[in-house]
Amino acid sequence: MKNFSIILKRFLLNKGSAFGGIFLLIIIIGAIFAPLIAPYNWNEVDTGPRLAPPSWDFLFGTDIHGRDVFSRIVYGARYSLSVGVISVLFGIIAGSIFGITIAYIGGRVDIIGSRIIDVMFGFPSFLLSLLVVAIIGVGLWNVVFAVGLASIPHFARIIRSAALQVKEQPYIEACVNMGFGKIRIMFNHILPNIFPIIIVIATMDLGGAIISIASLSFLGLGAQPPEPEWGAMLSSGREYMRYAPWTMIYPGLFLFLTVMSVNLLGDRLSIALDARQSVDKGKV
Amino acid sequence: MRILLKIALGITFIFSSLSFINTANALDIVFAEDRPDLRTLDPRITQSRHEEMLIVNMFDQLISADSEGNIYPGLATSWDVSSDGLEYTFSLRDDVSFHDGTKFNAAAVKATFDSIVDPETGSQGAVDILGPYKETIVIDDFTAKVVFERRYGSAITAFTETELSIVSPTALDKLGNEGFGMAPVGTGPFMFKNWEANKKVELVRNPDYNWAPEYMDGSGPSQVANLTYRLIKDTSTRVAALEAGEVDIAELVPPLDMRRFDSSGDLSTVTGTVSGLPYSAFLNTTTGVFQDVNVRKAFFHSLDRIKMTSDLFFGYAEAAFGPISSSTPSYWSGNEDYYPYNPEGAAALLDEAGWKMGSDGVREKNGEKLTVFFPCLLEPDTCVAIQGYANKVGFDVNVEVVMKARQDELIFANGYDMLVIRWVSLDPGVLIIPFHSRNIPQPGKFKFNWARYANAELDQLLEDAESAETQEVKDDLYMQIQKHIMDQAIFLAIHDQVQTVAYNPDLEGVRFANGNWQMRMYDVRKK
Repeated sequence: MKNFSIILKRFLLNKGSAFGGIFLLIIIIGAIFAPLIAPYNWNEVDTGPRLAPPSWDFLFGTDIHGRDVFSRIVYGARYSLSVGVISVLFGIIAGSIFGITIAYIGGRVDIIGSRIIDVMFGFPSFLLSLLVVAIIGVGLWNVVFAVGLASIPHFARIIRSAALQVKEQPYIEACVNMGFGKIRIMFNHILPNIFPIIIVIATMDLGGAIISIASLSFLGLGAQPPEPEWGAMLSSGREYMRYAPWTMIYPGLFLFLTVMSVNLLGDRLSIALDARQSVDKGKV
Repeated sequence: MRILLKIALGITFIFSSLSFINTANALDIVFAEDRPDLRTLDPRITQSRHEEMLIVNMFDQLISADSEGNIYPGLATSWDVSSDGLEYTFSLRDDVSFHDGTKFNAAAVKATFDSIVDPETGSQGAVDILGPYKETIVIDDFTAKVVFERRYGSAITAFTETELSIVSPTALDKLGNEGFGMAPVGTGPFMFKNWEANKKVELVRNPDYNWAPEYMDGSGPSQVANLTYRLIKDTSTRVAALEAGEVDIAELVPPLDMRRFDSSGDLSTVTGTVSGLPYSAFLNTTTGVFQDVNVRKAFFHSLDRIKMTSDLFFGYAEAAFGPISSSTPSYWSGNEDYYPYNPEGAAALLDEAGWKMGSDGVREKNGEKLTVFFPCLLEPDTCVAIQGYANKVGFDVNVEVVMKARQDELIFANGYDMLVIRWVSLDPGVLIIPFHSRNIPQPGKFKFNWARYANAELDQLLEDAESAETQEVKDDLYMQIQKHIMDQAIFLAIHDQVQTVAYNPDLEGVRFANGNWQMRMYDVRKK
C-alpha cells in the first residue's frame, strides 16, 4: 500500500501525467456513460440541419447526414479506446508468452525464436498490419487483430530480454532445484517479476495502437460506416473539410489529445514504477 | 561568306520550327479521374465507365453520336437497313487506319464483332449491347453487312456505343485479349502511350487523325498534344489539384464545390444528367432477408429518396424512381407511383412478414436479425444515408466500403444482400443486361443481374422488346418490363446520375460523349 501511495505521488507531482491522467479519466467516463452524456443518437440521421456549424444545440456541429458530431465523438471514444486496449492486450499476452518461453528454454529455441522476431522486425509494423488486413479482410475487429499481431515482435523482444535477466536470479535457480515445472516457473515466478516492465511498455504502446487503428480506419480498412470511430470520422469528413471543418477538427483533436495523454501517462509510469527512484527524485 | 550563309540558314531553320510549334498549338491536358483501379482498356470487354472515359478518346465507332444522341456518320459513311430489320449494311471510310498502321476495313469490323460474341473474350458489356448478333459478312473491303438473328430495334444506338468500338485486328492477334486491354489500339484521335497502374494513363495525339465526326468543331489532328489521366480518387485532393492549376479538368466534383465555382466563376463547370440506369441498388433475391418480396417493399418504403437526393446533391441531381432514368427513351412515368416514402407502411409490411421490433432497434424473426450486408463501391455517403433511413424502420444495414476487386469477389460468391450500380446507356435495351436471367453472375462469369432474379416471363418480355417492330410496341413492352421490375421490388432507384465537371476557364470545347458521362477531349483547345 505504501508503494501505491509513492507511485500516486510521483504521478500527481508531474504536470504532464496529471493532465494525461485527468483527460483520460474524462474520456473513459465519457465512454462508459456515453448514453447519458450524448445529447443525440449517434447514428440518427437528420437530428439537425446538414453541415451545421457548432452551436449550443450541436456542440461540435453536424455532419453531411445531419448527425450530431459531439454525440458521435462521445460514442467514438468507446471504439477508439477499447480497440486500442484490446489490441495491445492481445499483443502483450502473445508477446509475453513467446518472449518468456524462448528466454527460459534458451538454447536453440531462443536462437530460432529471436531470429523470427528479427525477421518480423524487418517489416514496419504498419505495413505488417496492412498485410494482415489484406489477408483477413476489412472490419474494425480484423484491424484490432492485425495491429495486435504486428506489435507482437516488439513486445516479445523486450520481454525476452527482461526474462533473461530474471532467469539468472538465485530465486529462480531455487525454484529449479525444488523441481518446479517449467510452466510454473515461467508464469508464477518470472512473469510477476517483469510485470512492471510489461505495464510500462503496454501503456507506451497504447497510443501507437490507437493511432494505427485510426489510420487503418481512415484508409477505409477498419471501422465501417456508420461506426463513429474517430479515424473513420476523419475520413468521412474529408470531403467536406472546406465547408464543414468541424467534421474533421473535433475527431482529430480528440484523437490527438487521447494519444498524447496516454503517452504522457506512459512516460511517467516508466519513471514511477522504477524502484530505484525515490519519491523526491520523482520530480525529474 | 559560307559561315554567314550557314548562320542565315540556321536562323531560318529555327524560325520555321518555331512557327511549326505555333500552328500545332500543342496543349497538355491533365484530366483527374476518380477511380484508380482500372483493369482493362479493351472496349469489347469493359463495362466500367472509368475505363470508358479513356476508351472513348482512343476509339471510333461505326456510327457517331453527339452528347444529345443525334447520330452522324462515324467510321461508316452510310448504312442501309433491310426491310425485315435483320441486316445492316455499312459503307465504310477508306481513308482510316489504326494507330498501329493497320488499314481499317470490313475485315476489322468482322473481327471486332465476332470476337465480342466469342465467350473466350469474356465480354461484360459489349456482348449484350450487340444484341441478337448473328454474323458479319465482308462484302468487299469497305462494305460490311452485320446480320442479326432477330429484329434488333436498338441496333443503330448500339453501334454508337463505346463498347462497340472497332479494334485493330492485327494488334488483337499479336497481343491477345489480355495484352490488348493493357495497350489498346484503335482509330481514335488519341493513341495509347503509357499506363502506370493506380496512378495515371498517358495518351498522345494521333497525328494522322482526319476523320472526326462532323459535329466536332475541329478537323484533322486534335489540338491537344498530350492527354494525361491522373487517377486521383480522393475528391478534395482532386479539387485542390484543379484549383492549383495542376490539372485542367476534373470529373465528379462534389456539388458544394460546383456551387462555389458557379458563383465565383473561377472555374468553368458543366453538368450532365445521364441516361441509362440511375444510381440504384439491387436487392439480392436468392439469399438473406430480401428473398421475401415484402421485406424488399418495406425497404423501398423506408427511404425518402427526394429528400435524400436534395440533401446530398444540393440540387445538382434529381431523385429517380424507375429502373431507367426519366431521360431514357421508353421511360414509364408509372414508376413514380411506386413505393413513396412511408415508414409506417414499411413497419406494417415488416410486422406482417413476421419481423418484430427487438429491444435494440433491430427487427428479429425466429432469433434471426433483420440484417442486410451492403458492400458499397459507389458514393459512400449515399450508402450511409440509405443505412440511416432503413435503420429507422428496424433494418440493420452493414455497409462495407469496398474496392472493385472485393466487390467482384462477393458477386462471384453471391455474398451480398444489396449492391449499387449505375449505367450509362442511350436505350432502354440496357435493361436486358441487369435483368435477364442469362446474366446472373456465376463464378468466373461476370454478369450484372445482381438481384439474381430469374423469371421466364420477364426474360421473354426483354427479348421481345429488343426486337419490337414499331415504337409503340417497343414502348408498351418496356412499360410492362418496368412494371414487372417495380412490382417485384428488386431494383431500388435512388437518384439520377450526374456528371459534374469543372475545368480551367481558358479552355473550350470540353464536351460529353453520348450519355453525358465520358468526356470527349478531341475538341478541347485554348480560347
